[in-house]
Amino acid sequence: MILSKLKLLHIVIIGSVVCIGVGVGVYMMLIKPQKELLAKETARYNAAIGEGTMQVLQAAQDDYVKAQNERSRAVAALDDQMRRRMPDMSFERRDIGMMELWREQINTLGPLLEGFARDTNVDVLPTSMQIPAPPASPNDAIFDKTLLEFPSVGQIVVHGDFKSLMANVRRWNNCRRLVMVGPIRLAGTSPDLEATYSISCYIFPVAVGGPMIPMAVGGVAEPAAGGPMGMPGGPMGMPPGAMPPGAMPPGGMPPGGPPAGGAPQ
Amino acid sequence: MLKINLLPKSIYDKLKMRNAAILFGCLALLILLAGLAYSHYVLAPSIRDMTAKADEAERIQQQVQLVRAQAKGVRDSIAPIQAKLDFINAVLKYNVEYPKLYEEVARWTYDRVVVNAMDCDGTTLTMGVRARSLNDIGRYLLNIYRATHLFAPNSIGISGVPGYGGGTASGTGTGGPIGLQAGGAAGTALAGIEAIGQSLERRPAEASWIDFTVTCKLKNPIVAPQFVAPGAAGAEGAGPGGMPGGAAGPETPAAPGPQVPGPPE
Repeated sequence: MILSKLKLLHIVIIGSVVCIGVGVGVYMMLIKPQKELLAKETARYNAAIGEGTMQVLQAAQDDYVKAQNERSRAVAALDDQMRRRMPDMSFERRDIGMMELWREQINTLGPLLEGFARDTNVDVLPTSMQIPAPPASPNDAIFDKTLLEFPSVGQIVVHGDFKSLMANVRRWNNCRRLVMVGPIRLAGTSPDLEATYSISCYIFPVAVGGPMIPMAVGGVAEPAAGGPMGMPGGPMGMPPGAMPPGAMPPGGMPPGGPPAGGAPQ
Repeated sequence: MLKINLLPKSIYDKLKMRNAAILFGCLALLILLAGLAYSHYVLAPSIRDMTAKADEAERIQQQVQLVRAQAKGVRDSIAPIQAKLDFINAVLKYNVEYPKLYEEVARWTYDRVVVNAMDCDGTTLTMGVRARSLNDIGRYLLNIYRATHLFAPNSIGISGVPGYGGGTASGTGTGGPIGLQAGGAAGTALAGIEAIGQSLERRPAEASWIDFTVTCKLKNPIVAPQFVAPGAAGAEGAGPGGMPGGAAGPETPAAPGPQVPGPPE
């Protein structure tokens, strides 16, 4: 009925419009979204492909292995130096670390340096090392330091010929502690040369200070005035719980009550 | 017999219009099918392929980033170890710097002068020297001037040389107030490592010695190493005399702080 009123030209126009409409519709609703998705995925791929190849991954893994090797080498080298030149002293447990530092500063370091200063190849004037008193509180800031410095612990005066004196200075690199030899002053005439130099000592603890130890206010004794290898204020001022059981003096608990840090039951 | 079609042309229009409608319908259907086929057989596989590749690339990229982060973590952990190692090595190197300097200076000393004092503060080397004649002084100085790898240019000074009638002179750099003899350089011999020993062994027997002091600035000053903890530059050792620069918590916490675990039984 309607068709009877249409002419062929109308059919051609309508058909063309319908075809175009179908084409546009298919493109707009089907192809265009997919093309956009494809472009998006391609962009994602292109963004990732710079670092997303197996070669890059392999290179990164190689670099990681290299870094681990570097670390292993550094750790091995440091361990070697620590074994050769440092006391085995860790402040991870402040109380135990403090006792280790006491032993080092009071009993070990001074005699060790004085003993090492005695070089049989030169005449060494009697030397007395001046090591400051260690801290009496396990919460002292010194336990948070990476490096313990003992500057100018002693003045060394040696007599001998030039070569022996130079060898004597170099010999400090073999000491069981890290010792820095200060500027050297030479006087006299060989073989009666006199060399004067000061030494400083450095200690790297294995680990810096761990958690603070709770302690009563004012329970810290002052360290003794620094005589040669001076004793600290003594265990009288130790906070409750700060003393490790191995270090507890015979006679029992220090005044001030039972340890708060958890003594062995 | 002649066939005459007496039917009007319009009698076929309906058929043509139907055929045209069918044709355009088929064409529209074809366009639709072509679009579907293109989408299904071309675009969709491309998208799937690209998505898979992008996913793979991103997965590898994430692995790469993870591995790189791990490598960076390892390298970051090397820094404090390396800082300690560097400091230890720097101290060991520093300890031999002065002997090396003195021995090298001895190599450039003229063997007919007596060096009776040598002192260095890291930047300036001071030598107390005595010689029998101005010729010897000149030759000694020429040797020292030639040690350009040791001393900064025009930094060599001399003082204490007697003038006429009780006056003294001092000078710096090349030349100076001393009248050097012509041909002095030709007769100057590098003394070698034994020079300082030999020269220092020659004790002055007469009062005719000329005492003078030579001051030279080192080309490469000797600087005592300083330990700088990584990431804590300026924090540690910033206080006077290497006192701790902080980083420690409260000395005496009022409230119970973190508990230190009890010692092992």
